[in-house]
Amino acid sequence: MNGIDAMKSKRILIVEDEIPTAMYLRGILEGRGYSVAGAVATGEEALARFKAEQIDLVLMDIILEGEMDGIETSRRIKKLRDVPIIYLTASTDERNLSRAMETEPHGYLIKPIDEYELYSTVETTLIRDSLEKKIRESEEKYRTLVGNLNDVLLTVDTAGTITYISPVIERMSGYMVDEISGRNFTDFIHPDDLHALLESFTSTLKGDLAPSEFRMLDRDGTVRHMRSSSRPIVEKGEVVGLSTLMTDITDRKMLEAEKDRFLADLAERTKELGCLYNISKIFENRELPLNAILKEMTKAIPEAWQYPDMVQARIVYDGREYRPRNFSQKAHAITADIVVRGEKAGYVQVSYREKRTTQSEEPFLAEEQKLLDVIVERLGTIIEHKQADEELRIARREIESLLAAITSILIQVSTKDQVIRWNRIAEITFGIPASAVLNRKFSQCSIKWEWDNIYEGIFYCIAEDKPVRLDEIVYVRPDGKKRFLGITVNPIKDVDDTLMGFLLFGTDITERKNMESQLLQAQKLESIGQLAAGIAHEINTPTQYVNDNVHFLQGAFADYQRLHERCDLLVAAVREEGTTVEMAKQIESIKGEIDFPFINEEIPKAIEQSIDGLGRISRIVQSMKQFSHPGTDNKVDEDINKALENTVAISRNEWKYVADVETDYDPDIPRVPCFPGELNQVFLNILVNAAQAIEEKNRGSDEKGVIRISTSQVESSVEIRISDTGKGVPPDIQSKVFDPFFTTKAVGKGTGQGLAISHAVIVEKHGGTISLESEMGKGTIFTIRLPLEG
Amino acid sequence: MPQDKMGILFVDDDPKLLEGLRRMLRGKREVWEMAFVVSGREALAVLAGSHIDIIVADYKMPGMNGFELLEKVKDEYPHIRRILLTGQSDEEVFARSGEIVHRYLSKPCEPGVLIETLEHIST
Repeated sequence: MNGIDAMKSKRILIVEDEIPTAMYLRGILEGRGYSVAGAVATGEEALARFKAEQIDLVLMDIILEGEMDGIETSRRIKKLRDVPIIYLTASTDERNLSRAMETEPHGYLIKPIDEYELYSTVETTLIRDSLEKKIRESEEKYRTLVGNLNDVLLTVDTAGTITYISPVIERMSGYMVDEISGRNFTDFIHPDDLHALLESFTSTLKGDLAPSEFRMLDRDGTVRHMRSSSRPIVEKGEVVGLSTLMTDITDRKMLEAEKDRFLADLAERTKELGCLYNISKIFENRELPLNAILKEMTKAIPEAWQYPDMVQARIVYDGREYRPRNFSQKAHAITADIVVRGEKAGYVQVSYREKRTTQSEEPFLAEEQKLLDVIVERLGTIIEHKQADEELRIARREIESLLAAITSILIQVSTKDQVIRWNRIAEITFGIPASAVLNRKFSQCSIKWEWDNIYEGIFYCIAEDKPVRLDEIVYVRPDGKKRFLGITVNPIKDVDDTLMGFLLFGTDITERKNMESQLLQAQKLESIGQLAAGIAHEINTPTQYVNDNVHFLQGAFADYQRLHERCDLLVAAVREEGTTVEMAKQIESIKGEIDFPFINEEIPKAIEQSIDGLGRISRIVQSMKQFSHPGTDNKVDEDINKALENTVAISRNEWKYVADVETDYDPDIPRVPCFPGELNQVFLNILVNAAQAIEEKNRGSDEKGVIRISTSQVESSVEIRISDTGKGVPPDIQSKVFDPFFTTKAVGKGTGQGLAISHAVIVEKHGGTISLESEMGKGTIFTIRLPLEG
Repeated sequence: MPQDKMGILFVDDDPKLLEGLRRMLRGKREVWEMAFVVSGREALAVLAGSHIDIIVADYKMPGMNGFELLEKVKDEYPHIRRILLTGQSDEEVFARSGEIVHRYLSKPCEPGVLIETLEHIST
């Protein structure tokens, strides 16, 4: 019978009112291949289960809920059927212990229960119980069925000659009654037992009644175990012989021998198990470095051998040798190779300290080699695990140090809203220590920020299963200052692609935002600076001619006054009837002097052109004022046509020598909510670029290009198209023109950030789009769309 | 064109600016013979057919700019006095004007300053 495997079919009932302990026990037992009939929490339930089904072992918690405690339950169970019981308890209470002992338990396990201890106790109990039951059953069988029938009655005289024997002996031994009768009983006794039996025979004749056990030999030489009880036959006051009742106890003897063998086997196995247990303890200690494990193993291995004191183990692994201090090299040894990841990495050797005196050439048993193989195979696996652990630890350390080096906020949250990671930067930024939030609900951590936006980001991250970027999340720093965060929400997946949670990765972008607005400001100043000369020229030219005209008018008026004086004199002379002809001649002369037809014709034109010039000056000044609209915090509804007109006006000097501007503004477009200052900047950037593109194409010729500007409403957006007939943008850089820090401008020719800033203003500030189409040598069209609802 | 009068050619792309100058300088018509044109090309045509002592050119003009024009004048009519009249304050113009231009006048230029400059440069 293979004890250990046969035990697996036995059914175990767990009586334990602590659910986790019950689950723990069940897990271990099932893990070891046992069949668990069930786990119940009360004595009543245990009894019910016990009555209903076959239970071979009970694990019984002493302290139970309900009427009955574990001891009482065990007592009642025992009354129903004799089943082995192992008590489980956290209590070492003496009174309970003695009460428990009365129920004859097979074992007693103190909580917390060690996995191996549980396993070995259960296994030993089941084996022992099964053996005991078998013996008991046989005895009963023997008694009830065979017992009476196999009782042999015989009489012998004082010399030992058999005078009578019942015929049962014929069936039992194969001898005929006639063959036995008249012969001495010693002829049939096993020689080894003869001496003892003769002594017993003599003493029984003397009246000392003691049962004997001996072996007799059947007719065919088979050994039969017998038990006899004899009493003297007394005739006339004299002992004339013995009357003996003999019982065949061969079956029982054999069972007992089997039991002894099993128990010896069990002891051997227990030693083996003890050794394996110690080794598994060594393996389970994850803190232990590999060299310490190997050292401990040299101590643990000999325990399993028949003579542990005489056995020594040494291990050679990775070029190093591990052995006990008093190791001595001997010829007889068994070895097993340590195999790690399919390759021999060393070996374990077991040998005797002294030359053994046994006759056997090979002092080791085949089982011992097998045991060593098993241990070493396990060692190989453990080394693999250790190496994997080590690799994992290194990887983890690397990840941790990488994470520690990250200068961004890092918060990891499980799908159960539990904060798993909260790095140092998160602590500093929010003023919340990791200890206050780790393993707590993320939604209840006290960050002061725009939770609505955060939740929305997380929702999209999970729903769309991709990283979500959250820009400009306002949060309040521990010092009470409002700042901005840029946050990315990333889904975290397990190896099997199931969502494990999400990672918030955040940076304080307040400084960057400031820099962005500074860059925007710098670019604005740059373009205004660039325009300043042009605007000055725009103003200077009309100023020049207005000034010239006014000077002319001043002179011309003096001339008129002279003429008018003469006219007055003439009028007076006519009244006095004087020399009118002379007067008229003088007037004619002055008219000639002052070139009267010229000033008569030029004065109205001078006045008209001066008015026009002053109008131009004031228009430019107005446009300039509107263009450099002071920045607003909120969007305002702006007339885009007007904004374009202003931009065209102030940039006139930039384009008027190279191009004509044709405008086609849709008068019906609605006002657009926008930041006017920044939008004007965009129009100016594109307009100046258009003029430059035309200038570069037409350089050296008198040819003028055309810049066309149109506005229209497209669905719920206002579309602005600005096209030029310039040189065009090469296809390979079309996709880059909006990139920050991409520029085709020479160093010192400004920031070259006009289009990058335009892109940022249109897309990020206004939620619109900006794109370009271009053909080399033909020109470029910029299309901007601004959404009407803010 | 009588030789005793000084020939002055004004070049500017803005006709109104030229008319203003013509009116303002009307008082000099006895001593100056003045011509007004709106581009470098027209200026070169006038130079080819008239006696010109002084040229006053705007800097920024479509096609040929004032600087290019004066460079040509320097090459072809080196005796002509060259004045650049401009609203630009471009450093590049300043830097190169020294070799090409006799005088630099910035717009807006007071009539007195212009007349004085023209009278001085001719002597």
